[in-house]
Amino acid sequence: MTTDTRTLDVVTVDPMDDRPVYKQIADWIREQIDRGDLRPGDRLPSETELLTAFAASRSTVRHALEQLTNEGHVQPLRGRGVFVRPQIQPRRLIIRDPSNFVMRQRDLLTRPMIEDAEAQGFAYTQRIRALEEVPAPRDVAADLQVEPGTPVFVRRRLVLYRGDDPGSVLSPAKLADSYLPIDIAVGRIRQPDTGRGGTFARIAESGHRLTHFVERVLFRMPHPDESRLLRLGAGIPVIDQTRVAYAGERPVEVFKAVLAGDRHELEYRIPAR
Amino acid sequence: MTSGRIVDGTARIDPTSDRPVYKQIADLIRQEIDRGQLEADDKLPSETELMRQFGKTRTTIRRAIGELAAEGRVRTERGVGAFVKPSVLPEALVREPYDRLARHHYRDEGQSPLYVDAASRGLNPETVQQDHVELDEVRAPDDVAGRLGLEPGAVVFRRRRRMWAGGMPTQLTSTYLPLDVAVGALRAASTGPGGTHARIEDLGYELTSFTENLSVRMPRPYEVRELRLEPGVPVVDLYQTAYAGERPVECFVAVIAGDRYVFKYRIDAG
Repeated sequence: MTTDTRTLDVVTVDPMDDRPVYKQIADWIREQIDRGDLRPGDRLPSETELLTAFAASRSTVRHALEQLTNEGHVQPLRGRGVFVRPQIQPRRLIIRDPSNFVMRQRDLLTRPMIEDAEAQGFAYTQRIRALEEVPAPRDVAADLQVEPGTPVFVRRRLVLYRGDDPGSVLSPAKLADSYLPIDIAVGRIRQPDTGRGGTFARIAESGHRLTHFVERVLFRMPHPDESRLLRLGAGIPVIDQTRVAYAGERPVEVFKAVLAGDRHELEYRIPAR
Repeated sequence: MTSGRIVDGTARIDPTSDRPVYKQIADLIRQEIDRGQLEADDKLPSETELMRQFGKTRTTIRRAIGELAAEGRVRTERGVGAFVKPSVLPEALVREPYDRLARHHYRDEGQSPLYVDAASRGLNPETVQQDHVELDEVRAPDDVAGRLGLEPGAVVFRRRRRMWAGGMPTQLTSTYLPLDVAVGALRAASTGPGGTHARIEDLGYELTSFTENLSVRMPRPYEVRELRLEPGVPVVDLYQTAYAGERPVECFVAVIAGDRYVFKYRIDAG
């Protein structure tokens, strides 16, 4: 049976239910998806069918559909209706923990991130969004151990990938901002191309031997500017990564990345000790 | 603070913009949060107050708040109002694999990694609890079989649980063990002091390394229920594989509430 011919039975909204009506409708549709009664690619009943079945107003039905869209369960296709979102996953790029990058960069291999992406079948390119001095935002200042508002140098990049799966196109996948103290951000670090070995090699050449990194990762929904820059569909969360590079006690770089959640996997190797 | 007046709301809505009015209202409230005018746990102005400030209908205001809730920026309590919500809760546990997997925790202190996580926030270990425990033998899902170095469809032992810490469900977990490893206490409802890793080493394996793979997605409906997730909170899919030399001896799979954990890795440059 296709959903196009389905007639909805009248579903009674329970006035004694604690849940608002729009939630009852959203929950009911979610259950249909959960049970497999509605399958990926199926069209949902129309707004009119739903408002008749639930004896609810159009705005209540729309509210329910918006909620399901935001959760990533359904997608509206203009003029055609609302569909259960197909579970097609773009292939994910695996981002490995930075220790091997550092090792390889010290050997002056030029572009470990790019090499790793290419080894996984991804074409990888980046665009510089900004190279500038800015007042340190609160969180960056804390990680750099300076007062908020202290001038710092930031390299903002947009990273784009194209997978080798059919139909894959070059598209924005990651926002990467690198914050450096002013005295560290000298020479080529301020240029679009940082040269062989990248920022870490330049930091090392300036006499700051990198000793360790502390990486914090959290998972959240994107902010609107991130959605726009990464062209994220509704219901796609992001990986929020902050990595502080230390030379002994001193933090010499704060790297902040926002990764499209449907296109990345993080991998860490942890030796037993 | 419970006021948070959105200054001159009507003047800041652009009626000629292509952006729907409810999105413009959400933008303005979001700006207040980003600028620190509204802080975590602050109550937003009431619907009625926002209707007055923006000169818009209740439906429009509700859609704006709904948008912010879907982004995980606010949580709503029915009959009370909407509150600013950080993307990670202040009481979130810190999960620090380089520490939590260290041998001294499970061998000497009898602490499983989940206890170490709880201790990161000074939680009483007794608040680390499990329920919905299921022990069975199943065909390994393909991703698990691959990580355990087994043929697709190989039968493995599985321990499923829902884990709690500090009175909140934090993750839904499945521990997969090859059948020859899953013996004795590893098949018991409780694995005893130090947990699975201590029991695996009791068998004579020496754990040498772990790999962790993390990805993120929106939760499925049963995960929302089981983990009691608020709207706008994603979940983390975690695979943690334990190796004894070259041999994978355990694959731990967890679905973790995105707002209840921060992941922290300290990596030495070597």
